[in-house]
Amino acid sequence: MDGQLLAWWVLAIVGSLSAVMMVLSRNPVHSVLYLVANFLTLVGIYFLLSAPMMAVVQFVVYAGAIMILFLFVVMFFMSPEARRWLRPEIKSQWVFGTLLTVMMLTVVYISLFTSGRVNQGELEMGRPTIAMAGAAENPREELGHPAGLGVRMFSYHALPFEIAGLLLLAALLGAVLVARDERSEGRQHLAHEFEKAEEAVAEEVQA
Amino acid sequence: MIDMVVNSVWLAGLMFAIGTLGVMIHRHPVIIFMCIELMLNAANLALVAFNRHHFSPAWRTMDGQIYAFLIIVIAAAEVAVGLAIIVALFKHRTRVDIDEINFLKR
Amino acid sequence: MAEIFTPQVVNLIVRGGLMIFVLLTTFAYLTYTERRILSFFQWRLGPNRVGPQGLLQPLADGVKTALKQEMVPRKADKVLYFLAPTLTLSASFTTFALIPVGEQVALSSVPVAILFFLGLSSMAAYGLILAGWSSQSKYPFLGSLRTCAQVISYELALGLCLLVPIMITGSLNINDFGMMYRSENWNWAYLVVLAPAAILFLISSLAETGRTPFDLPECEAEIVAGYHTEYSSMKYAMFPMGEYIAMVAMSAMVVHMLLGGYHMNLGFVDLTYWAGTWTAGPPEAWGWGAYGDAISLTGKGFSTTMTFIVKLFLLIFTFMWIRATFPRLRYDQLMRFGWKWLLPATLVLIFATAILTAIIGPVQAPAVDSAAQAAMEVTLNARH
Repeated sequence: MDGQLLAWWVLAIVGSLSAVMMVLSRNPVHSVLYLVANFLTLVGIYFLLSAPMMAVVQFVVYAGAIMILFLFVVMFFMSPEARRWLRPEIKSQWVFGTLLTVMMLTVVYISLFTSGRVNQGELEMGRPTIAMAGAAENPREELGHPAGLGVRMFSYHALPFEIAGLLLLAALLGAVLVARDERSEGRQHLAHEFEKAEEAVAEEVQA
Repeated sequence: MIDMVVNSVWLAGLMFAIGTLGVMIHRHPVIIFMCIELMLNAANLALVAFNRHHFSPAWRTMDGQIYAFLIIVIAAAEVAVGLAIIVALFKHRTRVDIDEINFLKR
Repeated sequence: MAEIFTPQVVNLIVRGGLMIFVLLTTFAYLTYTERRILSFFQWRLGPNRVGPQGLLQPLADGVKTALKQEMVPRKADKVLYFLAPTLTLSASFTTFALIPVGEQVALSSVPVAILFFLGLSSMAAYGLILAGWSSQSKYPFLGSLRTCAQVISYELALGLCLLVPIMITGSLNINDFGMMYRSENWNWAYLVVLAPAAILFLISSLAETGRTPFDLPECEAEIVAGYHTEYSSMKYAMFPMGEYIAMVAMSAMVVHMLLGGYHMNLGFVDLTYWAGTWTAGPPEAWGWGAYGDAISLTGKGFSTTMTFIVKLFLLIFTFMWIRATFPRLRYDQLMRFGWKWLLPATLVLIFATAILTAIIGPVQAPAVDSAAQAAMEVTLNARH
């Protein structure tokens, strides 16, 4: 077993354990942190799968930005009493949930196992090994190098990229609209009106 | 080395299942939302692993990673809107339970 | 197991250890320097009793902090309470794995180092947020909420400022920033966008590391000491340690962005390898690898590292100067400044950079690289 595979196993075990703990944890802040731990292991796995750009995007966007937002919402809006609502009210929810999950996992694994795609023997025969794939004369041509990724992104995938940008803009506006506190804004508006009225009165008095 | 790619796909399946479990047994919208994020990440892991699998000197494609990248962008947008909705819910009600969020029905 | 500890790995571990040692010493003496400099600004003497000119003050401080009684709040979330300072400190240390301090004097050359740098700065913020939350006490909690909102707001501007040199060099690797400052690549027109970018970066890094005038998370007048109110002894000391090291990292980043990195190109004369011009002899003869080159007194590693360190300390002095000069902002001012002024300014700057690079062109990549790039584009087009 070489170092990379060992690292993969450590990351995978820590990652799955933290995912399980995220689901089972009673404390929402702990849940958020377990999810962060899971994302950090994914960062490591992406590096091992020679996808450095994906790894840092995961690191900055998911582990850095999105999870801080989650933490903020959980810390700000979830009172400690909220914890007891986290428990499923219907006892059988646990049972059926677990049952359905196990069934789904079985189906996924069976399909993975039976498909020749991930069959190891075929891989080693027909496919180039990783060592071959990684060694390009030019580092920019290696798998996952940001330059190659960028060239591909802005040529062949330009339209999806533009649409994603539009979607982000729409989400930005939507988030502001949904989370805006209309009541306090009304109050501010009212205060502004009062100020104007007072000024008018003051002017009249002076006149 | 090739083990790593194959194992990553298995791991992605496992993570997806854990996310599903969380969605099904939890009743708080924030936690459910986090489980959905986990499922999205499992899909991303599978995409990156398959990209690694299909990358060869003859065919240097990085499309899998680009798909994963776009998924992250969309997930970020989704989180912004979703959390905004949850915050709005918290403002209107003290107790937030996914079973009771059915205003549209009433 | 034996093949895991290859000579390269051992070499890396030794270099990393050396880096951590240097950083810890730097931290210790930065506290002393900051106290002295602040007191000179304020017309007093500052610590000058322990040792000559108070030079042993950091040592005394360290001993005092280590020997203090350790208090843990009873209702604290124990695991997170211990984890928080560790997280802040280790994230700050890890930043230095990415930053080159001289030509070929760096722990790593990651192709995506700058994004990693941004991610690490938000990891450090996790530590501050968790410290406040896990204490389960009112003032730390307020401090952590403030940190949370502040970090989210200013991280955007921080990242967008870094985009300017990225667009000019066309690389996400900090090592390649140096390429911009070689005499054959340098164009004074870059300064039009680089200077404002670096200044805006400096401002948002002040907010990101929670230093004056943006030290709202630990505002004494309002919330005692903010997120670290309930911390004592060594665990308390780890927060300022993380803060100072993050400050050094941010200064290093500004040096790489604006002040020419480890190059010393004055326009009419390029003094990058000034040590090499004084003494003869190949630095490779020492055979100590990259750090050997830095120590060897003759090679380019030495002159570039020294250049870098001098520039770094100039910037750290600027940080202290700002602390001595500016009053703290109010919270609404902080938010308004971040969202309504800083963020639009950086967006305008990026637009300007795009126009500038379109006019005078980005830094030329090495010829081999661009040829391969063209070849790759041809293959891509052939595929579809």
